[in-house]
Amino acid sequence: MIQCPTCRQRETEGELFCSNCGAYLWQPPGEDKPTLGFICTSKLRETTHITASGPSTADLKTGQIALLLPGQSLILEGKSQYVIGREGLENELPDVNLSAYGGREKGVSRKHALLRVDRRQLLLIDLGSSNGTWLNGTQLTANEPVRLESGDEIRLGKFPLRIHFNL
Amino acid sequence: MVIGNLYSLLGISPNASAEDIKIAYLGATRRFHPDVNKSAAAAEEFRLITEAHATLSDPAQRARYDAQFKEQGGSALALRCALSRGRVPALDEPQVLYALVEIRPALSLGNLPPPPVNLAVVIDRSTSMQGERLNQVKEAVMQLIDSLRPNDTCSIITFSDKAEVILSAQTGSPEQKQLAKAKVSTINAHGGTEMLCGLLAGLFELHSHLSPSTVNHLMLLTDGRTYGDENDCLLLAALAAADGISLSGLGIGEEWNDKFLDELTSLTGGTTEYISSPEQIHEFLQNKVRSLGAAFGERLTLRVLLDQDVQLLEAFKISPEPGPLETDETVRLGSLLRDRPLVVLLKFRLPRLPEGVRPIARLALYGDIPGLGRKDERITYDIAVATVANLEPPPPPPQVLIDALSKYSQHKLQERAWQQVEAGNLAGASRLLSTLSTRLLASGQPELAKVAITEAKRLEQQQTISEESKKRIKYGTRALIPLRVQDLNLDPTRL
Repeated sequence: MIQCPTCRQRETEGELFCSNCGAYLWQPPGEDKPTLGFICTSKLRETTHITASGPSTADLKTGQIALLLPGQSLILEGKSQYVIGREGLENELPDVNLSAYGGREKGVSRKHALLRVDRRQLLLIDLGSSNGTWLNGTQLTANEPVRLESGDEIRLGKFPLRIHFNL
Repeated sequence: MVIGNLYSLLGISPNASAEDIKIAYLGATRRFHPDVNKSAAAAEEFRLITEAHATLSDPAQRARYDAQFKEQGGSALALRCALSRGRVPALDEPQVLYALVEIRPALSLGNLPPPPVNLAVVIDRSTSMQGERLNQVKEAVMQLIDSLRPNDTCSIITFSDKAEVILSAQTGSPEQKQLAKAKVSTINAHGGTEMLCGLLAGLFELHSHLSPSTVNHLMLLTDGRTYGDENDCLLLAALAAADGISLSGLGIGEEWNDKFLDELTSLTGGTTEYISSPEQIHEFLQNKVRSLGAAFGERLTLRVLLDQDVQLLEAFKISPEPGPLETDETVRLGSLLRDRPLVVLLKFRLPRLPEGVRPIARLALYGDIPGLGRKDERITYDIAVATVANLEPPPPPPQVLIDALSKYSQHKLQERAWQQVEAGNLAGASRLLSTLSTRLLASGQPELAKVAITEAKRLEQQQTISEESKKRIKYGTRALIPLRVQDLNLDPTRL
């Protein structure tokens, strides 16, 4: 038997996708790197404030979204939705790959959250991540879109970022 | 009579030596000897192998066969296979193995015209079809009549409580087409849904022009459920398949019985599609007629001969039209198009395996090539795995298999959800649908994801499901399964 790293469902040896959650199960041996889980302490629930500086709303062209990470900022444009996550063993990479910024160590799931542009609004959706998504200190319910304001603070697991956009 | 490639029956290449032939013969008989393998198909295979050996072990007969096979141009069909793993660990427990089977024409038809189509369109005209649905059906059928070629045969049948032949099977001159269209325009909606009488009338019409050199097909359009005659319908479909007729279904709206129609059509190698709005009827019919006219092979049948203790757990047609397949020894696959490969996913359960190379199953593909006047063409493919005690880091499964399986597993998630609903576990079903929604969202299907999450919530809050959404999710996730032609890059070394 093998066990799904995501939902712990037991599957027959050789199975490639979890029948309970659809996760891809094939992994080269010895490289099992599931999303790190955190015990949710009260300290963790506090919003991690971002001291990073980056472009503000006024600096952005229409259609641009800026993600302000600690010490770095990423500009997104040209798509109607962006999956935020980290590298997994699947060949598929998320649109915004936080692996290089310590995403895995901070508990970011492979497909953690989704940003969607919907009629000049920006929506944030938690994709059922292992460690949750927080908006201005409040945890989101999985799969339920919430509307973002430019300047909002988001936390993916323990990964803090601030968002500015001009849509 | 010589069928196809005798060498592949023994699992060897045409330049095999006399010694190779002898060894291969002994190996093949060990696999399919009636004492070892009790299935009826194995007995037939054993007979064929013995005959092949008789021909190939005699130098004079072998030379004659070689010349004859060369003159034919070789096999008309090609089959290749990608396995989830070619090497498996020696374990004390069962394992699963996936095989993605790709079937293509091996010969070009050149400029040969496509074979004529012998078509019956069977239309549900029960009361519920009244209005927009029937109007769209009529319009689409009239356009279908216009698109028929001079040598195509077509009949049109309507049914409610009883069947009525609107147009008996005939080829179409322009005048006849005008008359046929006038008749179609008079169809009106009335009565219940008794599918058996409609199918019977349709098959009767097809039989009047039945020929191995045509594509024989029945198209069933319905929006309702048939009651009490399901089993008879299934029996009829199996008989039709044996006569070389395939069935396809189109379900309109939310009332029709998807499970039944899937089963009915898959018995013949055909598939069922779903449309939510009547405007799509037109597109469905046009696509169907186009693909019927572009057939290369007809009545394709895959015989899966399992080796000892191996089970076939699932069979599913991935491309061109996705749909479930029977897991019997004889899997009906329908037509093979000229320009699009037919792709089938097979899931095997392997027993505990000792070390060494072990055959898993033999795939024997049969089919007719009407354009070349060939019948009962056959090719053989043996699936085998090497079992090793210590599996070093194995290579990842072929990408094409991962692509197919990832979409298929999404489709299976919703299937599991409906099974949970039937078992009364609504919370479990709701959770599966919300997981599916996440997967769909992440794979760029926001519309379908929304339908799934809405259903998950409905289940949670109202303990009920919407039949329409259920069908949208089922056929929506199914429609994502077909592989694009350019993704089909199976390892040619495994040819």
